[in-house]
Amino acid sequence: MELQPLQVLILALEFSSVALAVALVFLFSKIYKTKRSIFLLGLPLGFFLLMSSSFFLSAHLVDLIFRSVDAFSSSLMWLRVITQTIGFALIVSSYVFAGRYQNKVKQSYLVILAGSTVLMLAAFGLLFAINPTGLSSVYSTNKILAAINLALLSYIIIFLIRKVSLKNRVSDSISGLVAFFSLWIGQFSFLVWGLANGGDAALVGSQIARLVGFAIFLRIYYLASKESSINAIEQTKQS
Amino acid sequence: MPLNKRSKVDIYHDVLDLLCQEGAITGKASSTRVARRANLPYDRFQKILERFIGLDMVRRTDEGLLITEKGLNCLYQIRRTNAFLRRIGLDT
Repeated sequence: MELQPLQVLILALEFSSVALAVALVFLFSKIYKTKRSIFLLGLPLGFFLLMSSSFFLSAHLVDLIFRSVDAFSSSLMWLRVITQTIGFALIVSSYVFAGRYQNKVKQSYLVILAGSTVLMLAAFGLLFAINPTGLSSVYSTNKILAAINLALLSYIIIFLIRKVSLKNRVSDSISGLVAFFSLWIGQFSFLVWGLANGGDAALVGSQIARLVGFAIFLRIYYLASKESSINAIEQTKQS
Repeated sequence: MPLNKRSKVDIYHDVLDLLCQEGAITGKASSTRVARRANLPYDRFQKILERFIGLDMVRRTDEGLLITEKGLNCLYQIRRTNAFLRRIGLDT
């Protein structure tokens, strides 16, 4: 079977997305291990689910191109949309609880656990309520979940805009804002593709935006490492 | 408005940072000065110090306290984490 250039591009972008997401999972796990703040747990878990979501989409695309087994493809796509939305929800939970429950470890753990369970049940419930006949309903509900993802990412963006406007050092949080805005653009572009038949450009654009978002997070970590090593050198010199 | 309580990691960061500022890189830091500047009761500071010594992050010398490479790496890792969290808007 001969692959179309667009299929090759989409597959390459999705595989790159999986690779970057793996790096982000390790990075956020390290962050969580260092700080030991339970409210940060949403980040490694959330990015793990985003990584799984990209993996399921890659598998779905491979299956569509090479085998095209409908039921299996639908199941993969179903897993993809569910893991993606729960992943974003977990990342948002870190932002929601960041300021409120910082030192109340047990409470915040329970809140995150209860929140994730409710979200998961709600997502499952939504899918089955809309079309209980089969998993193929995922293609129509995908757009609804993309809209939910947009709402979740909007929360983080508003949170960061408020934070940036309150701070004197604007450049500090702006890179985080750009990273989440890229993820937002990715979801928006996907919605445009799904609802308004935005064409292949919108679909590829959504994947590129997501990839850019992931890459910006890695860049932020690199900049943070650079900043702390400069501080360490200055301190050593002073001593 | 109530002040935010320092987490355990924040306290460890402050202690390691102050050890460096007080000359622990050359083995001359005074434990009394570090405890006072870290705003910690001396007995609590001693417990933290013993823990650091147990983990080979700090050593006692004739002139005071010395921070080891492991201690410096730990401080560097906490700083990097804090800088990253600040940049993604999760510093509290």
